[in-house]
Amino acid sequence: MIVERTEIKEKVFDLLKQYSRKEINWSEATEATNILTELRVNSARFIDLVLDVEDEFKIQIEDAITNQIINIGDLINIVSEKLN
Amino acid sequence: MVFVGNDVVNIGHPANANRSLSSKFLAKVCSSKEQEYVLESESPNIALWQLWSLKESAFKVLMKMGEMSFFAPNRIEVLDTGIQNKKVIETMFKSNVVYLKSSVLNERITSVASNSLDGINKAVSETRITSKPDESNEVRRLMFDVLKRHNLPHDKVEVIKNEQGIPYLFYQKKILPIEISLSHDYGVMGVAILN
Repeated sequence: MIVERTEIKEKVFDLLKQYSRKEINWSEATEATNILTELRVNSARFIDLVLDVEDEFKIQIEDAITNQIINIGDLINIVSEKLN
Repeated sequence: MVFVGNDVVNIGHPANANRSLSSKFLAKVCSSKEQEYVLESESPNIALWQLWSLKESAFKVLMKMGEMSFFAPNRIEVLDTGIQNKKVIETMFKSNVVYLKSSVLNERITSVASNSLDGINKAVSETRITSKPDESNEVRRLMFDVLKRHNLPHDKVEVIKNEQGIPYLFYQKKILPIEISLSHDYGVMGVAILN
């Protein structure tokens, strides 16, 4: 079963909202938004985010791949590749 | 060059509570040996966050050295019996030695790292609590206070971070030869300065 990117994006955004420490207008956040610097997700919460994404999509994100996640789009791409 | 890195953790904040109970979180942060150490500790949550804090401090130094570009906590093993005695401990990453020290006080963990033993002994480290929402700005204020108290340049000095997030002190568009590291976590702020 192919999971649509829009569905992944929606779920990833929902998870991110729990961890962002910056008051932002989420309608302005894009796939290019940097998770650490722009959303101010700190390094510990970033690990929580990855664990939540793993649980939500029933996937495993290895450390070597985790290190490639810079912006929201990177995370969506990784989930999409794992699922499809 | 001698570098300094620091990290603070507010273990009293709900976001940091009971994280040692999550085996998945532990596995992402700690080596197998460190996981055992945390689970066998009298206060597993404190043990976990102390290791975390040491790892993040070490990472900041390793990043400045160009040896590590992303924070992969379970790749930096910091377990040492000296941790609880507030002694300076060592960790190796690739062929690099990083010296570390850490303390736990009033639900605050403060750690400092340097790639030089002299550096870790000379580094000035200070923590402060804030209730202001802009912790990023507040930690800079703390740093300027510390610089002033140590008779170091602080007036018209700016903090500028590079694209990796490494902070530098700038005066009249030139980098000052003072090593700094900044950290904040849910109302706890820490700075480390090495001149």
